[in-house]
Amino acid sequence: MGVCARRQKTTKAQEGKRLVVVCARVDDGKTPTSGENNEKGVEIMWCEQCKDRPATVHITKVINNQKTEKHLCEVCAQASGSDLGFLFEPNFSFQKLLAGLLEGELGMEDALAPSTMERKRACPVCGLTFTDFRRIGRLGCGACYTDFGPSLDPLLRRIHGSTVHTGKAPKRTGGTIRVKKEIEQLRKKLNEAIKREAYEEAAKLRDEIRAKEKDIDSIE
Amino acid sequence: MDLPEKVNRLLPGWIRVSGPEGEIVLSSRIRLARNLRDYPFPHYAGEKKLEEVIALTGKALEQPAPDISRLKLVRLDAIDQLERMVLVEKHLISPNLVNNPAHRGVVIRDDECLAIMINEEDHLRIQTMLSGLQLDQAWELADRIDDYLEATLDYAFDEQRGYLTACPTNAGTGLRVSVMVHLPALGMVDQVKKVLAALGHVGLNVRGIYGEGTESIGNLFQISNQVTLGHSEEDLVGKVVSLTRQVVEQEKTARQALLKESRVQLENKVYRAYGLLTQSRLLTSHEAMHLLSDLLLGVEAGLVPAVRPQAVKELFLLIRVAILQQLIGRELQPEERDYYRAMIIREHLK
Repeated sequence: MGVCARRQKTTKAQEGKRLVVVCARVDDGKTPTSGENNEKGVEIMWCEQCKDRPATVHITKVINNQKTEKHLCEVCAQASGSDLGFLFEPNFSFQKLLAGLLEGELGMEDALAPSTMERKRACPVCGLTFTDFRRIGRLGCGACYTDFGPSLDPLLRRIHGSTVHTGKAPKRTGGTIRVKKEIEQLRKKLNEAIKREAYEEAAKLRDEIRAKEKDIDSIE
Repeated sequence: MDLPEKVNRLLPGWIRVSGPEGEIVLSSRIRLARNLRDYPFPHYAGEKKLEEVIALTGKALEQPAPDISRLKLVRLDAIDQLERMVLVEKHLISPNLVNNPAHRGVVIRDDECLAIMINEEDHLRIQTMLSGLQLDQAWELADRIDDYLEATLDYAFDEQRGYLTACPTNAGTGLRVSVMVHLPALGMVDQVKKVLAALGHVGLNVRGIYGEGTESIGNLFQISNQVTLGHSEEDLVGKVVSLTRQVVEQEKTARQALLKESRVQLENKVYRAYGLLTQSRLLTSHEAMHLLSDLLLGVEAGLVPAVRPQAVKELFLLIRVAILQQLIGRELQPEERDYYRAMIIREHLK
């Protein structure tokens, strides 16, 4: 709850015929002890290599289904970065992950990354800039979605695979979307009625659709 | 008040009954993220705006409606830290809300199957919880509460992007659909990772219940949808339901295989757990979770007729730190907790 994503980064690469997946997670080195709150509810995991500093970097490497796990401190993780097959960034975070998604850092080429000017532009309603959003990983208000629209769409597509909502809409403030959906449902019923040659029912449905279309016209 | 009565008062309504597929699916949960139009999202809003959101929500709840009469708004700065932690352990609020109690609130229905967090990451987080695999019913309830609130509150909504949320990962439906499953047999036959990885490939999130990213404790996992935009609510609910059913089938097959091929080993594990749980005088949370998982597997397989399955499921909740202290009625030192935890387990399994 509340947490948008794990501070985690996964990279995939083909090395010859091997599929290598490296997943790195960075935290504060404290593991919650089974939801237990004793001594602030945490247990410190120590670095496997130096056994001296808390293990804040957790790396899982899978090569052809062979999994190895390493729990290291930042110093040792950086030292063994190349050995683990990926470049380690010490301040890796959810925000960076978002930024990576925005700019195609995760190996996905993208020409749609926002320009410098767009980044500096502030939302006229709340004042948040696109740069702020990249830093904190959250938008400032509903209007940001409209203001940053073109810059947000590539991100939404990468997160959700889509940029268009097809679900519920509020009854009062949802505009015409609810009626449009009802029309869609009625059209389906109409086609079925025609297939069944139930022409009386089809005529009724057609009238209903026309009435709803008029409603939309009057709203728009 | 004696202990059984206190326990009875403390347990949320949904945990006391077993739902469909209850031997494997412990609970179903729906969460809807909603924000008010014309108000900055909570992380970007000042105290005055946050207070206005609480007031507007309170006012929206004054509207008469059948489900609503039993709702109560609690301000988090009006209760003490232990009470807040009890709410977290009952899954009614998130730890986020506890870390930042000023200008935050939660609306709870008296059976605790419904809770609305105010000023968490989003202005409103409507949550419903039911026993077993009842996601359709949990969604219906959340949908109804959402309609009820929307009758008076203006939501931040956009025809193209749907319900607008502070984090773009929740935009669209704002819907998180999740189930809590108990998969001990898959764990024993070393298949659990394979099954869960397969769920990851089809767009579901899986994590251990206690602690993100850590290995699961007590073979409890949470399965939920990852994507919230581009699918209808019914589709998202349907997807989690049908994939959960597949996981349930896998777990059932593994349980039958264990009973058939390694009955003695299974019985040994279950009766050892039963023995330790009913005789120990000190139990850490970690050990207790493992033992309860083993016992629950045995109880559901009919190996321990003296124990009600629901009693074991209730214990997963009752042994948690804040709830434990609430039951005993005072703050407990870590070593004291192990003692009282063992005591409550013994009493509850009688």
